[in-house]
Amino acid sequence: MKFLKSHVFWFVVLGIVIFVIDEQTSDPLDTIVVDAALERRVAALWAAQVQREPTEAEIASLVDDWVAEEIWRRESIRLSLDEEDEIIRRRMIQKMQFIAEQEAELTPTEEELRAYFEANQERYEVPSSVSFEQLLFHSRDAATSALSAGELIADLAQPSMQSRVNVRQSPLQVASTFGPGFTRSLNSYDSASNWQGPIQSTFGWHLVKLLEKNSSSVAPFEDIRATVLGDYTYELRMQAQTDFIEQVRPNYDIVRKEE
Amino acid sequence: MNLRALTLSSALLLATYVSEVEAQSVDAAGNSAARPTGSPSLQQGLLTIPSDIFSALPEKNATRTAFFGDLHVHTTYSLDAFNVGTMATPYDAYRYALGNTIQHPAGFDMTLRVPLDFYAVTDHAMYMGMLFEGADPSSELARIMNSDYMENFNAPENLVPGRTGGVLGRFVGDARRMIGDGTLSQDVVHDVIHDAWKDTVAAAEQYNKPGEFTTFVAYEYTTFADDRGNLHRNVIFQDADKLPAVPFSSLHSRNPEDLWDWMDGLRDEGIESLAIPHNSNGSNGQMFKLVDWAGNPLDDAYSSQRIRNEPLIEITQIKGTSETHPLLSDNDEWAGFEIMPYRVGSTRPSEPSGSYAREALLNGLSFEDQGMENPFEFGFVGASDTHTAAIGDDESDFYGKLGLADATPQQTGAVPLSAEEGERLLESAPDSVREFEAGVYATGSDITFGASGIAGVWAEENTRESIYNAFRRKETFATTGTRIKVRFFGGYDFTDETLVAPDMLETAYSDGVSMGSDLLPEGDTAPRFIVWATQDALSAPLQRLQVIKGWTVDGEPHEQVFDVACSDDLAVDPQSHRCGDNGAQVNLEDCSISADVGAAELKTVWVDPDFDPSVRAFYYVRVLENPTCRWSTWDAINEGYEPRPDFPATIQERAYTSPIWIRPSTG
Repeated sequence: MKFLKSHVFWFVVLGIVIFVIDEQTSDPLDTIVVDAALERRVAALWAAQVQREPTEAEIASLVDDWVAEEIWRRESIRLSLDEEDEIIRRRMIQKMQFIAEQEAELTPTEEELRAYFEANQERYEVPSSVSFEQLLFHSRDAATSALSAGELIADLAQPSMQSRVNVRQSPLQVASTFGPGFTRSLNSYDSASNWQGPIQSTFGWHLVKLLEKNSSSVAPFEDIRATVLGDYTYELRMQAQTDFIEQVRPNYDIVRKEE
Repeated sequence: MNLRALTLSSALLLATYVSEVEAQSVDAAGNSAARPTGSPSLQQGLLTIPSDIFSALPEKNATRTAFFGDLHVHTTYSLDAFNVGTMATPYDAYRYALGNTIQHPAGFDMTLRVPLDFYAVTDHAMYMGMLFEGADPSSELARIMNSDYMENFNAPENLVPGRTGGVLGRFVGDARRMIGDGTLSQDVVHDVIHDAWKDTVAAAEQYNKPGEFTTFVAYEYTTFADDRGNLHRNVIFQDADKLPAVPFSSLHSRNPEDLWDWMDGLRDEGIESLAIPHNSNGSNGQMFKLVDWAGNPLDDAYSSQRIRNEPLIEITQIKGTSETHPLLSDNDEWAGFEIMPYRVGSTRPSEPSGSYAREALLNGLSFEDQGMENPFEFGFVGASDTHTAAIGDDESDFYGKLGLADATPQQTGAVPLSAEEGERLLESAPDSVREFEAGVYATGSDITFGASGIAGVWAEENTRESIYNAFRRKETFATTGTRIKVRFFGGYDFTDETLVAPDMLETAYSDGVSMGSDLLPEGDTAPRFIVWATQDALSAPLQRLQVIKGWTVDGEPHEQVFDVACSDDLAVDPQSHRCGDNGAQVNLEDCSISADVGAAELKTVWVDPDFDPSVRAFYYVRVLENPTCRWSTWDAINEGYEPRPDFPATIQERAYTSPIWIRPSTG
């Protein structure tokens, strides 16, 4: 039985046992225990604020303060002041979630991490890109006749606001610069060492030299290991929280009341 | 092929073509083809000095490429970003700029319309990382500050209107008091800030990919004058090899002149940086006032130090436009664009005079008229100032800048509040709402925000060095969010033939000066300007190009807006200097725009018809798109409402270039 191995399960069981014993045996007087550990704690906090160690007398007075605060705290619980307080509520939820998460194994092995990466490849996709040169011409005819101009091709082009050389541009970047129609036409070409076209854009007619075409691919695991680890750990933590709630929910009777 | 090799080979390829083009033009037209302007001929001598320029190191991509970026981005390390639920780190910010999806604090996905070329995370230096650290109850800072109240910082009940009150206000109050009385030691504060700063630097270093994507190490110096006039600046570092251990903040000094001293000191140690002021519009006249921090008139020492450290200003961002104001430029029909009338972070009015760039440029000329240094010889960039790590430059998908505090169109005021909330606020805070037929609308600074803006630079390559040099040259332009590209050159020999020649850009650079420069006078000859812009292929076409001229006569400022190129073959009226109406319309049912109206590209050579060689002047270009829906209209339509009646339903997206200055030769 898996839940018998769970610390949370025993945590809850032990809590119930202590509660029951406490109910039956507790002293009518509330006990506040002052020990050396407490003294060390209040002294350390004080030292962090004041930047020196407290004296014996100061420790005694810090302990007195702590005892008074503890009484305030217990009195407030006696009046159930904690129950309607959203900040306290959230803080307790957060602490419990931390405990639940500590249950889970949050440092996956290399194999688990790789398996997670394999299973979630679509998340780590790098979009496709093209690298190309472009020249702009007045008209379709001007562009077509420039194709046979050889080395002089650039002399026949008109000045273009857009870069002649465009390196590793995503389809979105190409579309933002030259328009969606140009992007579609460009994608229909294969990379080649010669000029191709003409292609129409928002600005006129272009000849293009398609230098490189990369289809979309999944980033290499080694390059994004840290991201994958972050994603996986997050998922494990969320899973731990869900598991905890599923385990403990049967202990609760949820009653819906009509107004 | 790996990327570096590809980039390198592209650059080499380009360099080869450029030199081929040069060689061919010399061959075709004989040995006098390359002709520099204004060089006297030496006909008396035995030899004529050849006018060819020899370059030992052929420059790669000498005619430069437009790169777009954002130099103003807040992440979880900014106290007022953490306060509104922003958990995105500097790493997330750079991932977003590259086109990846990150989450808004309210839980929805944010993806950039088109990836950017450069990006700088600029978290507030004051209290940098301190909420992030303080909200962790196990941290030393949390123990010292007893900051239990911070654990639930972004619960709805803690997100009070006004945003600077509530838990954030309490934290800042506590921190100031505790630093003051020594409870919170300098060491602890600097340790926290240093950790956040170190992580900010590490993120910038991780994502900087020369040739592909540029990051800058940067931060915001956030200070106010006593009247809460905004004096904020972003400090951008050239490199990341050597940096200060902590950024200089308003906790070190509230006086921006002390920031410049610090930057000058760093410069002496080989750490180069520049500062970019923003939201002068919300400065209540403080940003460009004519006295220094102590109230003394500006002297040359002040001016040269200021312009050395602040060559650029942010002219547009989410918190409105800082170009000019209708009260300052009453003959500019486009002056009332995305005006944010408040002092930053409040709803107290901001005095326009002293708060806008055009007026400051004019005052700069007046200083020169008096024989003094010009403190305001600056260029322009745009930026977002987002507090969610993700810029909001898309009108159709604008998610504000303040995380959970302006995540919904009800919060921004684009659509009415729920009936109960409207009733409640009408009772309890009537100044924060406005009632119209459709219901009660939230009214504050949020509805005056714009989905803006972007920085454009003309640089040889996408590297820190190249882009930073463009900042220093002021070869920069700003857009209000769309990717308009604009070129602007001043010279004396440009003709209509120059505009269509294949080597136009080589000519423009060799025979003229680009945006951000001084054009030296040439006798009484009127300058000729190349003004050239293309549209964002995914936004609206262009409507017109304008040149904005400012000049002084005996210290008196004058300004004039000239339309210089019109779409749709319309002519500029020589009297009014205005283009005819191109009739572009926006359908407010669905935000569709007129098809077949407007221009993909506008280009002209413009000569100032009123040029007076005896006065100082600046010229800058403003490019106007056809009208499109404002973000508040998109939000209203998406929620089934009419656009709210007290704000414009449409806007004209635009771009601004840095100015070109001309001074009389004798001056």
